[in-house]
Amino acid sequence: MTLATLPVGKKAIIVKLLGSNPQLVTRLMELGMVEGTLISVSYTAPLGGALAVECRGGLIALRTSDAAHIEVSEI
Amino acid sequence: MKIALVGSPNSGKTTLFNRLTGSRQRTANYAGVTVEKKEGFFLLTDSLEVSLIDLPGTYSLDAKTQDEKIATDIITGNSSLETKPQVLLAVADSTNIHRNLYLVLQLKELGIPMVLALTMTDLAKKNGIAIDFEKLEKKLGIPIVPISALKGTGISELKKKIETLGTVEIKSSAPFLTDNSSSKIIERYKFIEEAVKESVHNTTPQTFTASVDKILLNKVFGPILLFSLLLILFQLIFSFATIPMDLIQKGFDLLGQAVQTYLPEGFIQSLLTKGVIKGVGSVLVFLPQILILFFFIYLLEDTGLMARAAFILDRFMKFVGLSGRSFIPLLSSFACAIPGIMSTRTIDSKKDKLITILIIPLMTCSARLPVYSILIASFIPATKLWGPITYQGMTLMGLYLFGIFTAMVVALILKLTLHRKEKSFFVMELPTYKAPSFKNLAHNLKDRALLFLRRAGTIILYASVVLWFLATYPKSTPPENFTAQQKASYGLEHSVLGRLGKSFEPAIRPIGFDWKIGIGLLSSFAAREVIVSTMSTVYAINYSKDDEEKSSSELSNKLKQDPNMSLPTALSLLVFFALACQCISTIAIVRRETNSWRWPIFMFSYMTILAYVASFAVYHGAKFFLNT
Repeated sequence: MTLATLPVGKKAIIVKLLGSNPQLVTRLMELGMVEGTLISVSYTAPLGGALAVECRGGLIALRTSDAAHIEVSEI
Repeated sequence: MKIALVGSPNSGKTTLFNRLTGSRQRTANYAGVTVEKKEGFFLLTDSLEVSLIDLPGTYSLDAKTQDEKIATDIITGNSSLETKPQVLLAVADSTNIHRNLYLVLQLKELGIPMVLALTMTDLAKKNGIAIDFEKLEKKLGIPIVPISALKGTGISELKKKIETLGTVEIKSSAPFLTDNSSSKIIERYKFIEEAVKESVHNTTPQTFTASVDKILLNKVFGPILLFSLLLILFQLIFSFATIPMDLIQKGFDLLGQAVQTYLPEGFIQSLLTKGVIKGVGSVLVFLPQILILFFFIYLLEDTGLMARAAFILDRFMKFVGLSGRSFIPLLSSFACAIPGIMSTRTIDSKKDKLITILIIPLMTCSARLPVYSILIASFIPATKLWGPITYQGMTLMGLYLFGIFTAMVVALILKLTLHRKEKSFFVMELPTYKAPSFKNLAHNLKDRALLFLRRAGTIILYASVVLWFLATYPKSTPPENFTAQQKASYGLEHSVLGRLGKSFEPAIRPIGFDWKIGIGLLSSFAAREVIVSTMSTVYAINYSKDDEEKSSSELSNKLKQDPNMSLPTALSLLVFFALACQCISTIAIVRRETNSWRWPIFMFSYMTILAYVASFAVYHGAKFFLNT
């Protein structure tokens, strides 16, 4: 399961960050989205294309296409 | 003593900077880079003045963007722009402690003496976040001062802590290398988790932000509210701003008249009224629009609404390879490209920022409107097309859409061809909602206004003076029996500008323009709408501001009677104005924002070539279809 397919409101743990853009992966990690972090999808963008995820007590917006590279496991 | 202020975006860094330095600050650009240098001064003790450098907000010391690279280089003493600071003043938002401590940990690894200011502690308390500062201080090994920069609590304690540190001998000055491997990042977050677990107790979860977001990020209400907000903003820029703009215009007109009355006719009087006052006035007139736009932008940024707007609008901009951050600058360029370009500072990706700047002048700014209206009124029939919609209205809308469409195509092409090391992506924190500080807002607005006046003002001044010289010299003697208007027309025709317009004719003949339009085009480089008054002079019409409507219909009649002016020529001219970069202020501001002549020259060239080619196609296409 990836962050892009995680239903809104469901909690999950980050398993692995993949993706072709290493800068993006590093940025996500610096923002606290490291392996083992608790994460949930709070909102999907009204017009689509992006997600707002809750992680470490704050919201982070990212594109759905990038979220598809983040492997999570639902808890 | 030199202190560097370091912190993540939205950490309250700027509020603390303003609180410490007050009005004793200056903003400039670092030579050769586009990053702004913000320096301020304050008294640490009664006798010790320190300089405080506000470094660009950064999430980490891994230099992914130019801002971050500069911040990192200055902190580690590897920068040629700034000598190494003796003390670091780190800032972390206590309501977003996990993420903000990450940068602090990286800074600590550098071994430079530092103090950590935990901001927004009043807000944290209100939100039910209890922080044991002593415990946190012990765990991190960094002196911590809890503050509220907005209210001013903890500032004197902060100064005391800095003072004791300032006397400490710096132990290590080993080469600083930050390790940013994945395992190191995970390790840092493990440490933060431990530290937070020990010393921070969150009794009630964030509820205010969540309940507001439920409405603002709602699928239906979100876009509606955002759209209404933008509508208000542009209503203000377009209509409300005209009140102070008219006042400024009137002020300059009065000044011009006063000079005309009190100075003897001649060189000085003409230079002052037609060159200096007209030129400077034409720039100053934009100030109200710029201030309103920036007031909104700062308000949106300070409250946390800007990030939401970008989140919602990202979808639109993704089509052309940009992100949601580019939307507001592009939209505001319908008023004027200058505030639009200035507001691209909020775009964090350098590549996106550059592309946005380069396509902004294609948006139909308000200076094009007078030109459009006169040409449309003269050559497009007012016949009704459908219901109340006329060909004239359709043409005007078509020109707006044409500008947008071209901008999108150019953005796409630039996105694919511009090779920059930085790969752009869209990841953004959506910060918690915060009440704006109007003191801060006023401070930032003053900064913007001064920067605008100083830079664009000087260049426009020089340019207008040069243009005045070209339009006035060499003096010629018109026949005695000419009217005043005919004399003015004669003078312009025989000036350098007039001669240039004539020698220019072979180049613009293929797109359907004669020497009269040539003069208008040349003069419109000062500002697009200048073509209307120049053409009035060329056609020897008494063009006055007070009687704009009457004189423009007069010009319109003259244009219709001119055998050289036809519908294909008018269409060609419209397209040329839609695409060409005829605005010295825009070029000056792009020069300032990109800190090189390379991009303004590129912008000017591509727009001129595009305009020429498109006008050529339209002129000959129209001639072919209209059989003329």
